[in-house]
Amino acid sequence: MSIDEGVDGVPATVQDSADESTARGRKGYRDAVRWGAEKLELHRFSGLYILGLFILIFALWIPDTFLHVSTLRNIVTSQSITGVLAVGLVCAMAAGAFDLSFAQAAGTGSILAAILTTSFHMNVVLTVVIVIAYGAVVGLVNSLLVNWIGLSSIVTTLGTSSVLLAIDEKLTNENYIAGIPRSFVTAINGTILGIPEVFVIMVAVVLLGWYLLVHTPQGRRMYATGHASEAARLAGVRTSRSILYGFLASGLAAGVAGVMLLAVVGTGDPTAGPSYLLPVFAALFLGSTQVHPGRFNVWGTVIGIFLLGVGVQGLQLAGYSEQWISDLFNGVALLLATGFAVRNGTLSLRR
Amino acid sequence: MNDVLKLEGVTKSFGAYKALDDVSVDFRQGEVHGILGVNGSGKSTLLKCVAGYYVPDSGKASVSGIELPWGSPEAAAKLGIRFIHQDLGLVGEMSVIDNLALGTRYEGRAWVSDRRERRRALQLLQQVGIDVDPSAPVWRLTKTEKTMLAVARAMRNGFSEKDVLLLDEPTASLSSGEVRVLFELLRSLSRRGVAIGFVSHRLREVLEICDRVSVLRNGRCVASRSTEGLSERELIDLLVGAPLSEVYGSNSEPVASPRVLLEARGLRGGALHELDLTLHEGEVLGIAGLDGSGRELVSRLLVGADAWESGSIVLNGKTFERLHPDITVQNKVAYVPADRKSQSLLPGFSLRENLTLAKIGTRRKGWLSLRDERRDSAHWLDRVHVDQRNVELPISLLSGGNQQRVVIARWLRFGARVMVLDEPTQGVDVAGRSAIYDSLADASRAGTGLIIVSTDSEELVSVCDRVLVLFDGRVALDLDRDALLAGGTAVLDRAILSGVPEAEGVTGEY
Repeated sequence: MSIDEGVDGVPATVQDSADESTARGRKGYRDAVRWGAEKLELHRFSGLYILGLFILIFALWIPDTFLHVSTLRNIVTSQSITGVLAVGLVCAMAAGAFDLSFAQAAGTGSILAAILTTSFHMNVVLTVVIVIAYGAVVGLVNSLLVNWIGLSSIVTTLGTSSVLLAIDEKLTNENYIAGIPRSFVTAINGTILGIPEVFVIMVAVVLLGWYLLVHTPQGRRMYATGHASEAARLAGVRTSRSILYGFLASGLAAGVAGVMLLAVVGTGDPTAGPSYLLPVFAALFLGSTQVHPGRFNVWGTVIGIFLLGVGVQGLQLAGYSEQWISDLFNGVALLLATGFAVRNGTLSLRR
Repeated sequence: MNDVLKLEGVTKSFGAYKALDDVSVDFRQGEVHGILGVNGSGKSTLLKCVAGYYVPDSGKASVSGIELPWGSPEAAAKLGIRFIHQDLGLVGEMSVIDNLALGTRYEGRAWVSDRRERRRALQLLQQVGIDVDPSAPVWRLTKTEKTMLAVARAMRNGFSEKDVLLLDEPTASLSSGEVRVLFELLRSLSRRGVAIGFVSHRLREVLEICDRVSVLRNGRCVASRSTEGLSERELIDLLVGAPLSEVYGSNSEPVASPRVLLEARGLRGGALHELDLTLHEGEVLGIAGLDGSGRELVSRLLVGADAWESGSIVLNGKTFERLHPDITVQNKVAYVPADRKSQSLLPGFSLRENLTLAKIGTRRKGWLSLRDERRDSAHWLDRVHVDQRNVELPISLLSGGNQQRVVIARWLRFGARVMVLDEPTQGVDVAGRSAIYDSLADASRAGTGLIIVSTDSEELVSVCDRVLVLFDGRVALDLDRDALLAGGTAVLDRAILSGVPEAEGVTGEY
């Protein structure tokens, strides 16, 4: 049978026109969807819509417990430490510095703060200054090892992370440190005009990170270093400086988070740090599919954090409060989001 | 002597470009046959057709009377054709033994016997006459040893009188002494009956070793003759074509204003033994030379991308014993590398970010305004005639020519006083080229000094005020505008190939 005859004896011309009209209909529908997606900027803010969807689902599912001020406060407080750490990590990762040590750095920082306030009876301001300075030292050491010795950042931070864990364990003998002064806890875990103070700290850190990365030349140089190190170097960018700033930001954020951690938990917990490693990385990679797809960015990461935070909190309130459920939720969300983005070509995480 | 490999009327086009035009060459048993030609004359294409990597449009090939099917590397190998690529195809991290075994079935089948392989490797190494530790990783060998190892590997199945060994520019990165060692080996192989064909630039050595030469020019075989009684000068005439007008090699001052922007003094590093050059304001200085002459190192050394061994560079009156790209950029020296994808572009980033990379900043202090940056980028895209309104487009979506113009705009915007360009029009179509030349001419008129390193003789002749020709790691010649205009690419190609001027009374020293 020749092609000209058409299929099943239907004259080719008739069949063609039929095909055309359904094709047009399908095309119109597809255009409408594309138009809608463009208007809603789905390629940049899909996370926000999903966040809205989550809130809607939980509001209908468990209205009594979910739609309550305390829920909001809970989410906001619990995600603030994650948020501060994530902003630091965005800076490091933007510059191509893969930092695995920030979580333990924050944990050891909180132990340091606990010892300073209990054994040394230091006041709040001095404690905060010392712990933040400690964070800066961690960042400096990481960047020195990477820049001067030329170790890969993953190996370096894996090493420093283990050293920090050792310091943590030696200082605490693996016991909790109790008796943190109330003055310290209220000074940092209090509220300002009804807003949790840790949330205010997070907002400040987020704004600072966004300013540095997007609205200063150095931030741009950091992104260039992380994206194409050799091209950046040949264009005159001091790539070692970008890496220094990246690690420094991450270390400082870990110091700040360490102080917050002690105030939120209320005791010096020698095992608290590492539990932040996976959620922060999850939020970071989720965030790299948002706002500025393909790039680690502050606002995308904030969306990622609250997406995960609301999901986990909602499930807990609905009665699914075992730890494995929230871990499963984090993992699946990360894989789905980055998987879609990589398939779309908006993100390349194959390197 | 009998023909082993016979090529008849081989023609190969790439689009409208005829790389090979009716080429007939034969390779005979026990003979060393050199294939010569300037860049782009089709010599590598010819070898690649024989090796089965390209399928010619027409023509025939036969090995000892048996027809060789085109486009089949397996068939070529089966008929006894051994091929050594320019990059040798060795794996640096693996040992000599492993490299020799690569691509064959491991001996001993189920059990890979180290001892047996070692014995076999030693035997092969002895045959080619190199004395290296068989368990040493290949990256530790010298360049000559690597080349000879590649020969040993090509001949690992033994020598037979029907074998043909083809080498694609095996001498490119070797010094004269090293070339001789390799040639000795080729000689001894040919005495055992192997037919050898190889592509080379080294005229003097080729004349010494080859029994016959075939000269390609613009895809045509212009001569295929015995080297008996062939002089270097005749060979150059064959390679370049046009007869020489005896006008070049003058030392007149450049027309450009005398202010010196950049000076290299006795720069030495890698294959580059000694580089002295002076770049004046508004001058366009070309650098030419064969592969292996040190040409490919010039740009990276000048901008401090690689460290040099000795010598110095003078920028803005300051002498530097070593340099890093950030220091050269501070001194208003720009670098446009040949490899755009990995060395000059931020591939996933926007036009805007690529354009402003060298000088990030807007009018407002302390606040990088994206709106200002966008406006500024659009302005500079206009200046270099990149017709693209959307400055947020990823640069990877642009054509090669437009990408290069964005890189040039980056440095014009930065206010570079010196631009060092490595193969600025590589992979750029004709229209893109002229736009790039226009942008560069604008820059030079504004006083920027340009150094253009290129393998494209036509490009150098048409845009440069002066061309330095490198030979064996040294500046062999300094061709000024008059010489270039009078002699055209023929003069330049001659100088590139021989490293000496031919006019009486002018020495090769600069």
